[in-house]
Amino acid sequence: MQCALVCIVAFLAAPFCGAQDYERWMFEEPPVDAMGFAPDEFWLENARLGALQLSACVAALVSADGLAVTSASCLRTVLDPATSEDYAVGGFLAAALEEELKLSGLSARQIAGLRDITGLEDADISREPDLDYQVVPREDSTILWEYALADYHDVRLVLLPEAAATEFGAEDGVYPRYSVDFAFVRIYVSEDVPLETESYFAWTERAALLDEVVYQTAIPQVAPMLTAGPAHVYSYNGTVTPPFTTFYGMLDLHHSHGGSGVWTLPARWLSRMSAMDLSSPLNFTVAGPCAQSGAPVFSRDLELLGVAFDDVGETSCVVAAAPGVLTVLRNIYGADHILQELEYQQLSRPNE
Amino acid sequence: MCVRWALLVVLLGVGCAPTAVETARVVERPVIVEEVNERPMTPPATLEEPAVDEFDVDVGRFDGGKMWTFDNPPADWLKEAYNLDADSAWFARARRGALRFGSNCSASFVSASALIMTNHHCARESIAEVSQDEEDLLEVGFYAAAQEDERKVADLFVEQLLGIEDVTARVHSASRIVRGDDERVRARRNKASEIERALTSAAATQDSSLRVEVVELYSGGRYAAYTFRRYDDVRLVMAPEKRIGYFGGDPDNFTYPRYALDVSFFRAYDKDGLPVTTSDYYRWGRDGVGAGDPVFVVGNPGSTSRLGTVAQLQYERDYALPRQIQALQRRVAILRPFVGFETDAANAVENVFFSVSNSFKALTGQLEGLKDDTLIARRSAGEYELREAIFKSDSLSAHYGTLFQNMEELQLSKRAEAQRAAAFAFFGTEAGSHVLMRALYGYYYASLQRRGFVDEDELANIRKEALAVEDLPPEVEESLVAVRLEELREALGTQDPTFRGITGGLVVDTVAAHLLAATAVKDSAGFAELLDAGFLGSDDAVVPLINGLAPLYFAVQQQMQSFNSRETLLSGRLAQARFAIYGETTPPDASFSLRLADGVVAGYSYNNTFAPAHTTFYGLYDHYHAYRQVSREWDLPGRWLTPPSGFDLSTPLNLVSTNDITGGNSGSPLLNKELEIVGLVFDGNIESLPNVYLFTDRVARAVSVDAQGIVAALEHIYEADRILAEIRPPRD
Repeated sequence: MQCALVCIVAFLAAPFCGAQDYERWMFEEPPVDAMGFAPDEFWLENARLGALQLSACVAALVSADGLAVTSASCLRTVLDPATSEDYAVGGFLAAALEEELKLSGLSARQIAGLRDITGLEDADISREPDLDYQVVPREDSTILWEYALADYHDVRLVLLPEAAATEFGAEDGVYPRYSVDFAFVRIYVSEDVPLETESYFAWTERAALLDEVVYQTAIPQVAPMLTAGPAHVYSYNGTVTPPFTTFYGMLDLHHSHGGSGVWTLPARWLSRMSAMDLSSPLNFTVAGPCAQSGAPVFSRDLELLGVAFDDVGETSCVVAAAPGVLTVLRNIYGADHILQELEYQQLSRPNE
Repeated sequence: MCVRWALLVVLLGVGCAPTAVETARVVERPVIVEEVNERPMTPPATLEEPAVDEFDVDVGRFDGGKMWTFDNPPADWLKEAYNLDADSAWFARARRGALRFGSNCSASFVSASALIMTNHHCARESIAEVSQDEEDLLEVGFYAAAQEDERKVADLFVEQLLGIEDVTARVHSASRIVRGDDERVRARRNKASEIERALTSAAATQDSSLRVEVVELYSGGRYAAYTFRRYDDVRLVMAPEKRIGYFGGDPDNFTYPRYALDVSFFRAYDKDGLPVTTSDYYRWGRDGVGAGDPVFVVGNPGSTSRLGTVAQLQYERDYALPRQIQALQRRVAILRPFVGFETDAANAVENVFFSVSNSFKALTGQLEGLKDDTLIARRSAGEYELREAIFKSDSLSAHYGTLFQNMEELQLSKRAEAQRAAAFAFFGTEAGSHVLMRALYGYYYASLQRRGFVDEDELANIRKEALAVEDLPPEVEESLVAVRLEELREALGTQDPTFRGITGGLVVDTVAAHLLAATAVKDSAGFAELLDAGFLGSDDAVVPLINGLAPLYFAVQQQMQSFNSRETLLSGRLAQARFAIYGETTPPDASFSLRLADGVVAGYSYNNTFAPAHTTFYGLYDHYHAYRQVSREWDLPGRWLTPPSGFDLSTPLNLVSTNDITGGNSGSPLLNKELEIVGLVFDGNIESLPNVYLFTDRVARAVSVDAQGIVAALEHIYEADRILAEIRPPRD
């Protein structure tokens, strides 16, 4: 509806503004037609199991060994301030598995299963001992849903970029935007044993195409939702927003603001960006508000296209683009071990 | 484009050409008004205060703008605002480097060899004109590597303001014994013309390139004789490709942050075919400017609507603008699908599309401003101040007491006619159907021939104009004809005899399809044949249509013209009242005569963040890569794709400042306190569009190409060493 309004009010947007808007569903009652695509059970299970609730954020599993990506701005809000002072601003990178930093007090929750238990006696329902269960009635009280919840109490920090980069411009609610707003954590099942999983999103080098319908998984306090909407542009400032922003634009702002204030890039970034592909997509927007901060933004082929991190009003969700994250891992942090894990699912374990 | 529209407007007496086609736009000279009998009215016994308290507005010192004349330069203000000691030598230097470029832009001398700098968008017609066989210089750009390669542009001239003489007393003397305001205005204007002729012929005996123009300011409150030197051998030196000159195209027009290299260079030659030697040029700034630095624009702003009454604004807001915008929007929708193809017909569509969408954007932005209640409230407060001053003086009250009521009544009359006028919005202009435009030309041409006593030259001119109308693709024409018929139906109703006459009761789409299938006028050769063989006597399908439509059209135009005449008269009297009260404490309205506008380089709040005072070449490449999926408007020319390693992309490319500019300022130099070039004005941001009604500088900005960006491009991309050697400051 918002998109339609924009189209009517400002003609400039008309050719760039599809008729589609965004849509939302509950996982209990999945869509037959998710904006031009019929998701099957396997797809839905992956979209659900690949997402984790991380306090108020969502994180997305991106490797078979429990590596997960979320938004840096959201992760910072759930860190324990007493223990995170050192790296919350300056950033953190674990060069190897044993350097990964346990985040005290933070746990991750996965919706391991969900089923309809309407009319069943409690005694008739089988439950696994290491899962928690939660019963949620449908809004009209005609159906009772039960969620099986897996909680992981060992979450470790793998990579958190400097605040100067993740909050570049301090432009909450703004697009065009140039924020490297992502962070990596790893889920552990017990001391030094990362979670092994088959349900994760495959990282991709490609950018979301304009008008491509993309999906997000949210895990709010109660029922998970699936969100769909197209990568889009909209009229603003007398012109139209870009389909994505690039690192060129980040440098433009750094220099046009005189390398001062909230648009200041760290010296390390400036020197390493000279060897970088600056045209790599950095941020893009999807129609509708973000499902949740840190939510995975993925294609119908379950490719991870980015990480949702901020709303522009009710009309757009700003996403950190997957190719931009790879560029930063490669050129700024030299984080080949993370790149390898994302690309080949090769986890570099100690003593290997 | 706008030039041709303006000619047709004059020719046909159409009062409805799109305004603000671009920052540079044609400025029509003031119409000499026919006398209109004033209906006797009683001045109000009391003045009612406007209900504007809720908006907490104050009349700003510069609500009317800061377009200072050189007759009355703002030395005190520059001292107060910038601690700048601007003496007469400073103002003379500021004035003498500036140029009027052709009939709608500004420019400046930037070297001792009369190198001229203006915008790329001011040079488009010139660049196209000097393109030789198989060349498309708009596409590939142009650089004369040697002086002999510089290409003369036929009919292009620039004018330099050499001197100003106050002739107010001489002009006013002519009206001293004349009774009646209107007679007095006419006597003054006659006298002004007489002085202009005498001074021009006196000057021409010394130097045939000199010309004198008596400029009327404050609607006759002041007259000044401006002596110009005209340079009419002007040659193209350098122009970048249109893709970089107009980077971001139509979508980015009137916006900032911006990344356009909207610059071109020419040179003035003397009668012996040698470059003019001059000391009247601006030196190139050695350093750039940054946020907070004072900057000055010297150029020729066209006109604004800042000095009218609130009733006029309300008519614009509620009637004129919404109807014009709707008409433009419909045509944008028709033309847009045909833009972007590499054929002649597509080029013609693109030219029209550019103007139409440009006007659409400008008028939409202006309407937004008028919908802002604080703007109207501030204008109401200013009007109340003026009315109060009139009311307090018996003599002013006697002269001007009924002025505001008269103006309001006129607006009510215009409202009654607005619907019918809207049916003809942009009719007979290039913004509408070219088939109907030709038909109107044909009708007019044939009517004049039938009258029998028309000047042959005039007929030849009309014929030339008519034949210059370009072909549009038939499917575009069909839609344009259909939308016009639809607008007539909306305005007149289906039962209207004129409407029934031209449609024969058929639906408009069918009428348009039949017309396009049958008429020879869709093709320029076919039209030429018909025009010479006797247009109205032919059996072409468009003839019955135009025969049915033209009488109504001319009747509506006559009515609107009479409203316009009366409005011009009342506006003149309003300006006189204003001058009687405020004198020269505020600058007169823009008049495409040379003005100085002061301001500072400043970013501003936009889009919930902050727009920096300047952009860099990094942003250019950001946009190039980011927008490729959207359209070709952000494509870069080939030579820009791999900038050499020495090119520092953090160099400033565009910048924003608070200077007061409007259409006509395109190509104006942006100068620092030392009167050195620091930029080249080419646009205003979207927030500046309402400035046509009230000057503000909170978020409204002038957009310039940064002088450092120009040098960087000349050096690293174009290797234009000859230009660099001329404009770079000498090394110590």
